[in-house]
Amino acid sequence: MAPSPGGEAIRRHCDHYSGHLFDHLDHRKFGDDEVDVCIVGAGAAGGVLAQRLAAARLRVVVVEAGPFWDPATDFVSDELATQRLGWQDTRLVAGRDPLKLGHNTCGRGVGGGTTHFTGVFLRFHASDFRTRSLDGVGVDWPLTYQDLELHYRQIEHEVAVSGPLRFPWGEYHGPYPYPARSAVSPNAQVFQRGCAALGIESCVPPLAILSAPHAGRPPCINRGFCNQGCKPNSKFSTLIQHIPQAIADGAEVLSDCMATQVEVGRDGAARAVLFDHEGREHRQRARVVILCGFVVETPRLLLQCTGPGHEDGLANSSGMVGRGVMVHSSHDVYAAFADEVRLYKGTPVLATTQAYYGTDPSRGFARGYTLHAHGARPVELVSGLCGAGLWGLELREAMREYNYLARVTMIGEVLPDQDNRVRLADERDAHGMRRAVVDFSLGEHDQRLIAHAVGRARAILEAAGGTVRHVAPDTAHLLGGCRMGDDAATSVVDGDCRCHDVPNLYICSGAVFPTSGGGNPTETIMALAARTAARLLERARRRELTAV
Amino acid sequence: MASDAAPPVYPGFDVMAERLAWDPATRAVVAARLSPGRPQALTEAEARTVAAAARQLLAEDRSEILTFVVSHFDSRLQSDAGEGQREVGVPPEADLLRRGLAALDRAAGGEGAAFAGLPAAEQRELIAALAADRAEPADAFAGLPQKALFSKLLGLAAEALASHPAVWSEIGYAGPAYPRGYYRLGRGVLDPWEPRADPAARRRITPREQSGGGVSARLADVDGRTPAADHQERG
Ligand SMILES: Cc1cc2nc3c(=O)[nH]c(=O)nc-3n(C[C@H](O)[C@H](O)[C@H](O)COP(=O)(O)OP(=O)(O)OC[C@H]3O[C@@H](n4cnc5c(N)ncnc54)[C@H](O)[C@@H]3O)c2cc1C
Ligand code: SF4
Repeated sequence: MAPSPGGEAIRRHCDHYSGHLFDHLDHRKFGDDEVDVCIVGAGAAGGVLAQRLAAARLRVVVVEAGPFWDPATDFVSDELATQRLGWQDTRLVAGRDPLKLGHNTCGRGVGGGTTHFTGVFLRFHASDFRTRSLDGVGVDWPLTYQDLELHYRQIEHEVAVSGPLRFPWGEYHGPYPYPARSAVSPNAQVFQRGCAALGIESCVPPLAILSAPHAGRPPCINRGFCNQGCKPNSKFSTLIQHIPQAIADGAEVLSDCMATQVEVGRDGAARAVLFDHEGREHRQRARVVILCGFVVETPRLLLQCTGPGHEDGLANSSGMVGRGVMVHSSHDVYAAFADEVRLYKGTPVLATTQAYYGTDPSRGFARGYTLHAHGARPVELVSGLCGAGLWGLELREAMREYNYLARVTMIGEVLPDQDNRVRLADERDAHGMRRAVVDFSLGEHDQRLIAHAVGRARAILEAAGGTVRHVAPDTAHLLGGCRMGDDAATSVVDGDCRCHDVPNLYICSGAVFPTSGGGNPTETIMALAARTAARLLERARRRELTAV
Repeated sequence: MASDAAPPVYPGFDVMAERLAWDPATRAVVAARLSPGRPQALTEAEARTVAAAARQLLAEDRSEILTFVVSHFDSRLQSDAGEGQREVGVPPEADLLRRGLAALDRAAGGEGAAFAGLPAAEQRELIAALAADRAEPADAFAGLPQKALFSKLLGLAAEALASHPAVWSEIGYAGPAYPRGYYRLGRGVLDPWEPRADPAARRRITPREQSGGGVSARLADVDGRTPAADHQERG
């Protein structure tokens, strides 16, 4: 049961398989079977994995903590009523820069973060995978841009990404499957004008948003509510694409089911996932378990799975589970103009620049950032204004200027720090699980990068004729916590997302990122999931599925 | 107060007049804000304290808006949805709110809704002190992190304010957009259903130049400029 936007409870389906829908777990398709794969989390990575593995005729069960959303009735054009698309369950936060979680960074329910993400769909640059070798910061990934190239291309194709004729930065310059969105929002026009005046290259970004019909879905109508869930289904999510495909190919998807344990056999291999549905414990046996529960919940689950041989948590012989949590720094800069802008109009991000993405030694820090023209609605605006210290009359005056404000948002690389981490609190949640504590502090290097990006955002807005009014500190996108690497002593999974300690346990989500890159991460998460699926299937063909 | 002193920027615009253009789920959610139910989790005294605090936090007098703000607090207290995040050492939301409201009343010199009985200027002073972590008497707030209490009160009040249709009309936010989206997107061109600003309004709504409040301080934090330098550059 889940509350409807109006408050009353809706009875929901929790068991979904081809031709069947149940609001209880009494008619399971794979209930007592040992399936080939059990996936925890139906978000960006979990959705892609379920689709790939079901298409290859493996028997797949997906266990998802949140509801199976219905865009027609569950998504509303309203900020307050759609906060529940985020992971609202309380996490404790600590450190010098305690994180804002919930709707700001984490999804819950089928689709995960893709139901309410903004749809900016960027590839990482080749340098993002080799920051240690190139710049002496962070760590190198155990794989390279070339390893993901094919998967980036496939994902862009199936999502029907719309993008510019030529994308100026990184390794890939187009073409994209669909043309760039043509109508550009007033805020994006301001951004383009400012960039042009300063000689900074900018373009309409590649978006997981349709510019023309595709697969029975209409093109975007510029309503601007991407962060509240797309009602017309113009924006991609795994809720409307990969999960339904997986179901059509035979997967069973269980929603409103919270995984609470990975059960380990005497041989040290994972053998089942325990999960809670409406207060009752259930068990799904599987030959392979893949954890796709994102950055906080994956380490939280692993750290609570203790037993002989893994006293400090499952897959944690390195002590790295939970460590190296990252965000993107994401300060918002607002400037006021003499004429109206109207930040509510159009898809939120319709202009972007990666002119400051790579390392430039003259700036005094390594790595870089992306700048987006980024729309905003009233609740988001006041949250930024309150965060910048305004209340009372000052807050009201700033709000009255809403339609005269333009906004630029940065997406800045944050270096991994092992002290930024997920650990367990003594306090427990409704499932009896210990709550997560997330420690986070920005480093001095991160601060220098932020200062530079804020300076460039100001310059762009001022060059367009604006007067900077507010700088609202913020963060976006969680990453890390179960880093991938070649060395079992310093990482949790290998380049195939397979745990060093437990060979039939995989982790695939933003959690495995060793570094954050300086752009929106989801296309890379999905490409990584596609690659993980391909590697797993190769192993299955070689009959190594139950390794050890 | 800001809301009723100045003439409207968007004269004649009422976002609710567009409600038939919205999908039914959204329409129901927004319409419900105009007639919120009576508080169920908050006591009558607590509700009065919330309203009085919100009046200062939001510089807002209109009772229909304050009633909705109170009902938003009330629904948070009734809901079992989590808080997203809570800083280590801060009491859980319900506890923080309940004890915090009682503490405001104690600091105002009494039980019940004593805070609501204070003159407006004193209410404002107490809230400003809370924001700065130095509200007196300290023992009224014993065991309560004052800044966290201030942020919780402000955060909940402000998100409710920014969700009220009367405020949308006031700031010229065109509200929900589905099934109808936006089609005239260039700067300065409007779809017929969007609000029109009074041409003379721009002058009236320019905020007083940064008077050393939170914003300038933040600017100095993030890029090392002083608010004064910032001022000069703008000319
Ligand atoms: C407001 C917002 C805007 C964004 N905009 C962009 C953007 O424009 N571009 C971009 O690239 N990225 C964007 N992102 C980021 C994007 O949403 C994430 O990077 C992406 O969704 C992460 O994918 P994932 O598979 O790692 O995890 P998720 O998509 O978060 O999926 C994890 C899933 O696991 C489930 N789960 C967790 N624990 C359990 C458990 N114990 N049992 C069962 N299920 C569990 C969760 O409910 C969730 O559904 C945005 C995010 C937000 C919040
Ligand atoms: S702006 Fe476009 S993609 Fe975003 S929610 Fe609206 S219709 Fe969907």
